[in-house]
Amino acid sequence: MGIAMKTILLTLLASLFSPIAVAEQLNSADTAWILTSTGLVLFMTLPGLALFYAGLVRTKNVLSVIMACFAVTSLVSVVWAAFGYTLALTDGGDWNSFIGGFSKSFLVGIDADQLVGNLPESVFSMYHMTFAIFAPALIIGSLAERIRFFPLFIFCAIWEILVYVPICHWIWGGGWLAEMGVMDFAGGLVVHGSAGITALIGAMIIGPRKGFPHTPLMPHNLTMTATGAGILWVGWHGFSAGSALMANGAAGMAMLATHLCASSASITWIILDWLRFGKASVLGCMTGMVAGLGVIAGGAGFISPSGALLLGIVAGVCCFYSIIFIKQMLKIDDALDVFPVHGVSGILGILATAVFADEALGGMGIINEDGILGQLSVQLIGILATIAWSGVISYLLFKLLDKTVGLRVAEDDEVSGLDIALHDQQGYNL
Amino acid sequence: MKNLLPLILFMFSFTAVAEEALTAKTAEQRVRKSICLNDLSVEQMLEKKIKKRSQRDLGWRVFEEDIGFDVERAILVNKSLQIRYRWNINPENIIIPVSKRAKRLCPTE
Repeated sequence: MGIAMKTILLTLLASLFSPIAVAEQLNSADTAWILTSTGLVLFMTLPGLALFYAGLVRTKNVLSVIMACFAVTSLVSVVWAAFGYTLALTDGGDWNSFIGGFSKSFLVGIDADQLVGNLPESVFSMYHMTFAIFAPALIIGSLAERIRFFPLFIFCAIWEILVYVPICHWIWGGGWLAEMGVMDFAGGLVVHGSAGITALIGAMIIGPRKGFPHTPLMPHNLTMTATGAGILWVGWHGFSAGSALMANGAAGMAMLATHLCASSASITWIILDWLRFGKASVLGCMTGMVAGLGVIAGGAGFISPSGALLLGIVAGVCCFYSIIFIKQMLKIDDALDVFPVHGVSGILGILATAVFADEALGGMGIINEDGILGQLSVQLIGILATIAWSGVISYLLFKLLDKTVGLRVAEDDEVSGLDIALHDQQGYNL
Repeated sequence: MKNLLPLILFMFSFTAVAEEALTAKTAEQRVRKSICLNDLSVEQMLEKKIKKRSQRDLGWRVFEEDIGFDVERAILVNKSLQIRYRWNINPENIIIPVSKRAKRLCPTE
């Protein structure tokens, strides 16, 4: 037997007795998928949400909403790079239960070779940046047509650091809610819950638009809204399926569940509109779809396709009546229905995940070892913590800005429109 | 050199048969190879679960305890969310599931 053969045999024998090492390695397929998802999620805000919102406001305010979406995207990107990423998604040492550390401030130390799990850290941080952008961009909708530009700008920067970043860390950064086992696959709480609560508080503090609730404040361009809604639906696949952080079956299941949930919620809304008003509303069809996308965010990768279909119906009904409750009964002018659609659906989805994710119902299994009731109680703690933190900090922040620089435009400016008053430009020169 | 191979093979077989003292490495190996359900080992049962769910395997970890070692397999479900299967192995080589998930993986009637 040759020396080479002996060496091979000895190496093989020795390997039988050595432990298997698990090393972090770059996965090109995963990286390619998350790069794609990053583009899709950014596409949701720009131009998706910008167009969706822009079509829903009146002609005189169309640019103010588009401008707010673009400006918030730029602002939050810088805030995320400076302190957002490091505080949300790095190890905070002794404080890790509550907040991350400062080791990656201004993204120092991130290079092409640095990995987080199976992904380059550059891709990981950029992917999460697009979520951090989408959350405050949602809030714009509730304050539309009467908020001043710079107070909104300041609010979003501070909100990002004081509200979004801690909640993101608690749930996705290994914080106390993650330790408890709160299940939030793609931002039911982190994005939709936190932004929805803030939107409601903001709408209450800034007050209703002039004319609300007696004068109908109609959307000026539903074609534009439909274009934005379509982009949101497509982009949401990056939001949901990308959250698996892998290019595998889990991502595929998340994509399937997301699509089916949006579809069933949309159909539910069409039927409810038909039953209530006698006609199928275009805006209702799109709003239902968004409610379905919001409700599945919490459990996209945990829930079976049939569970997602059922959840979409529940979301359609709950969000439909939430709008009526908030606008007609409580008379809160959440201009573009951010709380009833995103807040209610996000929170509902987090609760439903505890049930629909159970293996007995075809789900991927729940985290809590005490079963559905155990998981429900953990999800409830996550919801209450998000409502309390987001609600209190947002209330104080809105009040502070209102007392110091003022949140609301002058009455004349509101009547003439924010496009001319705030930006000296108008959307349509007809 | 020609007669070296049988000697080495003999030595390996001897060490494999002999009862080893419990170390972190042996604790992990014993938990992995212990029979779980339907003649499948703990390791095989977990591999089946991970493949079925398309989840990310974070591998085995061993923790030294007052009595023996805790051996844990962690699986990344989503972002920072992990599920963990944990067993304790004492110096008498008795393996006891610590987490409810581990108990459910290998039910004992």
